[in-house]
Amino acid sequence: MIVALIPAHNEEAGIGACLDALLAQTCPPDLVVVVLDNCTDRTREVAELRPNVETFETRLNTHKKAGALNQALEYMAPWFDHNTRVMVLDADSILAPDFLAEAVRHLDRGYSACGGNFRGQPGAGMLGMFQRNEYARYARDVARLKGRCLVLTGTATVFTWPALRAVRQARQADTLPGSSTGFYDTDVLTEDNEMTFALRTLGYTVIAPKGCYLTTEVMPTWRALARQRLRWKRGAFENLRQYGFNRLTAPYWGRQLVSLVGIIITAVYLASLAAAPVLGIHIAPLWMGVSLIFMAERAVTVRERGWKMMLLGFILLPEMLYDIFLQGVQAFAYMTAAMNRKEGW
Amino acid sequence: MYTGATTLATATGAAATLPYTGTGGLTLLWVTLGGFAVIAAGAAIRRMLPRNEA
Repeated sequence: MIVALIPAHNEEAGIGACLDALLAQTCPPDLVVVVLDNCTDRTREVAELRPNVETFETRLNTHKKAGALNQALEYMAPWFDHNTRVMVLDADSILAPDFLAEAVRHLDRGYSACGGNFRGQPGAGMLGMFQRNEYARYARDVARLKGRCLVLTGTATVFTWPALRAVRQARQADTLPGSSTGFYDTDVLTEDNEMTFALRTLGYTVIAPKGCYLTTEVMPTWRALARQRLRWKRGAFENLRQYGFNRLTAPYWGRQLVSLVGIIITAVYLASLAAAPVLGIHIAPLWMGVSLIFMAERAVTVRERGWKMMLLGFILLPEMLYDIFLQGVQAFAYMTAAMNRKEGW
Repeated sequence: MYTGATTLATATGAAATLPYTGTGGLTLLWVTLGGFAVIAAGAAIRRMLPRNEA
């Protein structure tokens, strides 16, 4: 049995397309449940217009998506058995037709969770274009690693029920970090990242195969993007602090270190540009040659997005400005973490 | 999500804009950034090479 859970908080605008894509899967789910979480709009009506879609309303949930999923999973648990597969899908995501078939194929091969590779949906002008390029590069990286992903995306992941149940049991037995006792940790900013750590800590194998393709919304404004990334970066860092340094987390700590070095280098670069009137600019052919390699890399890694995006990448500067913005957000995330400032959604 | 490739390119830029004076802290910085940029260039070339995908 495949059960799809879609946590939704005021999602009337996007949930129709999400459900239509889910119901049109070549391997459709047996049960679709929209988890209505403190909705004040027409999400329920839009969902119930579709055939075979059930709704579940959360009660007094203050823990957002993780809390909503915990309530729904607790309620439905008695009907699940070891053959049940649970898909968690964001209400603003649209699956490719073969997503579930591909996920089931991998779960049948022994994986305990199968996450999606997301691309950005159209819109949001230049800012949307930057995000779509970024997502395309990330998906390319994961595909080149044969699906070995760092995070099972919260946008769409299919779990085996035994794996989800084991995570809850481990939380209740206090063998996982944190104080939550449900399926998802309700105290973290990035519950998908934490769930990935939890599963892998318990020895489960996870994958994000190329065929599990979906699109998700891009942030429409710089402010919204900053908020999203602050949550992602701060959440990922907090999860790492929770789980400490071990064989599992070492590659994640390595990425944090590379990011931190990147931030410092960017700061040095900007400072060197600011000091250029005093120090002078010393462009050397050697460095121009090295720069050409990066320009080519930016173009090649967005090849699937067409020649215009390759050209944008090759020019380097526009995407560099976008990256510097993201680095600024990440630096702020480190700062708030160092100050132990509480962050919300 | 962020791969850092563009940031590493800034190391190249920084090494290019900072003068190599032959002595002092500025040179140490120049060598560090330049070394980092060269290592990163190797990684960038690797990222461009074709590879079988899952």
